[in-house]
Amino acid sequence: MPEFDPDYDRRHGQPADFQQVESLVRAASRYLQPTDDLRPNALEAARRACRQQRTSRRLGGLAFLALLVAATGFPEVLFSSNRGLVALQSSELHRRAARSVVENGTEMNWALYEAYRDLRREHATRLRHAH
Amino acid sequence: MSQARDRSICEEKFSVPVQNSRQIEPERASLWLMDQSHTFAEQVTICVERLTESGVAALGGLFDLTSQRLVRYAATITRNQHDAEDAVQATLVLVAKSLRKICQAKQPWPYLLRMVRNEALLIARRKQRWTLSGNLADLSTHRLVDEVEMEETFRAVWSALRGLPTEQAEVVVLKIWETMTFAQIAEVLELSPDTVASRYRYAMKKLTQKLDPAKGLEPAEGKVPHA
Repeated sequence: MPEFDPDYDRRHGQPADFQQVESLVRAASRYLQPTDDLRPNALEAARRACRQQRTSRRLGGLAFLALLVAATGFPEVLFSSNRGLVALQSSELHRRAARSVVENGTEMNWALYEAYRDLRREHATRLRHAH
Repeated sequence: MSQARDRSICEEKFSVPVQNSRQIEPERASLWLMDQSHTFAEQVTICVERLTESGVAALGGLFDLTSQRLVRYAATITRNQHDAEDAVQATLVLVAKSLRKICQAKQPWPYLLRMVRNEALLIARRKQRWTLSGNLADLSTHRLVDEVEMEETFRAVWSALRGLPTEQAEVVVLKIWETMTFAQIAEVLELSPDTVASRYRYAMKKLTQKLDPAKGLEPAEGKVPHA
């Protein structure tokens, strides 16, 4: 706010010419009064707005927290429980089948079937424990 | 009965004669105490400091101190008291919602005036009432017993103010009723002091023509309400 400059107002306001009208206007300064309803209405509206703002802030905070938990926690849970699962890949099946052929002397077709069956069973067991 | 007792308590406590119980009530007596030693702008600053300490609970004090001035200023923009009160209410809601802003303002009173002005302009643009400039039927008025004979003058003043363009009327209100300098008004209205001063001069010339006692006051339209 600029400093009070009496000279500026004196120079520009022409006080001598308007003094009479100014005093008339000044006298009417308290003529208009707020209605009796304004105080309770305005204060209630202000309090209500404050309450709403607080509630929405809290809800916003909770939502953010939930989002944060979901964003950080969910993948962790997902990956930690399924960390041991190995995808059903043909290379893995062939590796297991080959080992069975060498160690047990089983036929390749039969060894492939057994490797496939065992892998499925392992996955089923791990998933059951995870959930 | 209780009002009379309250009045005597107030007079005793603050050594100030109580003229009208509606004007000053015991619960608002702290504002009185401030009256004695502070300018109005300083009183508003103190009220805002209380708001910082107590939060929305202290909003009543700010309302009691500023409502009449804010409503009359807003009424010069909206040209309707109900709209002016809506503007003041909306301003208080804004203050309550963002207490930090008003608490950080260097000059809370001009800041508050600017807030009310913005709200009043919004309402005025939205409603665009086409009222006769002299019609004062919407005004809720108050005058002391010894001011009854001045009622016509007051109404003529209000009628004349409503006859002015808004940008001139608000300068007159801020200059005469809020006793602000042109520089301070320029700050509130975001104009140059020269523009404010010239608007004031134009407005005063028009008011002089309308309120010239030699010619007789122009009568205001609408019936005179009883306070």
